[in-house]
Amino acid sequence: MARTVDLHGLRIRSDVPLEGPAAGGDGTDLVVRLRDPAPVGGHDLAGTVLAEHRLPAGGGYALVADWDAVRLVVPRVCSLALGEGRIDVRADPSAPVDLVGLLVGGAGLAAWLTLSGAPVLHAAAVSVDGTALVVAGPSGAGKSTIAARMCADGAALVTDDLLRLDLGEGVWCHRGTRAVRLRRRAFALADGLDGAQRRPTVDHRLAASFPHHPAPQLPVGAVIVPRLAGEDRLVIRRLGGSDAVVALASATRIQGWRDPQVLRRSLHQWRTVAARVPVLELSAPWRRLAEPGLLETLASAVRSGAAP
Amino acid sequence: MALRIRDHLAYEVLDGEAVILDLDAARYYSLNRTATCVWQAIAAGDDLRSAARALASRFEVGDDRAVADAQSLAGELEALGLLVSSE
Repeated sequence: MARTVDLHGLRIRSDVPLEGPAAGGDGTDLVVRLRDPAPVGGHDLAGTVLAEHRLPAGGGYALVADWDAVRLVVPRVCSLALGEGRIDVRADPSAPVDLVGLLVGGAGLAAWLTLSGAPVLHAAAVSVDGTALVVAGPSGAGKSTIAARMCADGAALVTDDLLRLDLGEGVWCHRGTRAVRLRRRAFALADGLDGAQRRPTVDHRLAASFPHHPAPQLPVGAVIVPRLAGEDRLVIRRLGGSDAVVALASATRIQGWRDPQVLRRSLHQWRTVAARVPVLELSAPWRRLAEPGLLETLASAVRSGAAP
Repeated sequence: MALRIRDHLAYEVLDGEAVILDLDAARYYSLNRTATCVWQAIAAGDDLRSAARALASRFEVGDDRAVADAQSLAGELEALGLLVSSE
């Protein structure tokens, strides 16, 4: 049965379960329809490849434009046809429905938003004193761990995995999912999180729910880019100029873009973000990211403007 | 020698530092301030001599030093495939 949710600034009516608060009122910005299942093959696709991301262990996705649609293809899981105001989903008969939902809500929405012109980061975000602290970076950087730690310290969750930005005036972000999805190495962190509801996910992670930021949009206070380091200390420094822009460009939710129009537009967007909000590099060993008090450490660094 | 920026590149400048994007390879390059000064001069259609003058003026270095630096930087950018001869 279809359900309408508020996610990333969109009212989405979806046949596929999406992790987001129920939307009140009328009207939709995006309709996600589940079509009849059909086998979804590999990466050998006809059409123009707009983006492609292959994982070392197999899997990944490709975004392909053919004569009648742009499709996000996840081999042996689903194929999403992205159109104006719609995403049509064809699931492989062997794919778990929860996995299809995860992909639609993650890569599917990210691709749809990016093609619509929105800057989309691979990021988690929490709110502190009415502004967002964004944690951005590639997979495995520690984003969800840091966000969970900050929520346990008292911040409200804005989103995990995908963050849509608005660059009209300043830098604003949109509220997304209500849970962080922790990898196995962070399960022990989840055990110690008071007040967090926990459940296993179809991709072998642990979803930990936290109080959600109450407003659908809020201004971005800073972007934090984690860098796992061997030295046993926590170092925060502000990135300037080209380093800040490249750090943001390396943290896009959809990887492997080849389309020149998207690449060019994104570069300009990341330059705009870096010009308007501080981008801070957080260097630490992983275990330091899970220590209580991280929220105050990062908030204090943002207030002080962290030395470059 | 006249140089120009290669086709299929995009770039942005922030705090005097350029980020160059190779649209064909989807690869990023970062330039420091002196390299960005040379880059911007060439992007504006200046030759290396004019780029050297811009360096000398902006960073308050002697002309000989500026010429040497501009030639060295241009050579590196050309070796990376970001600049090409326009002759």
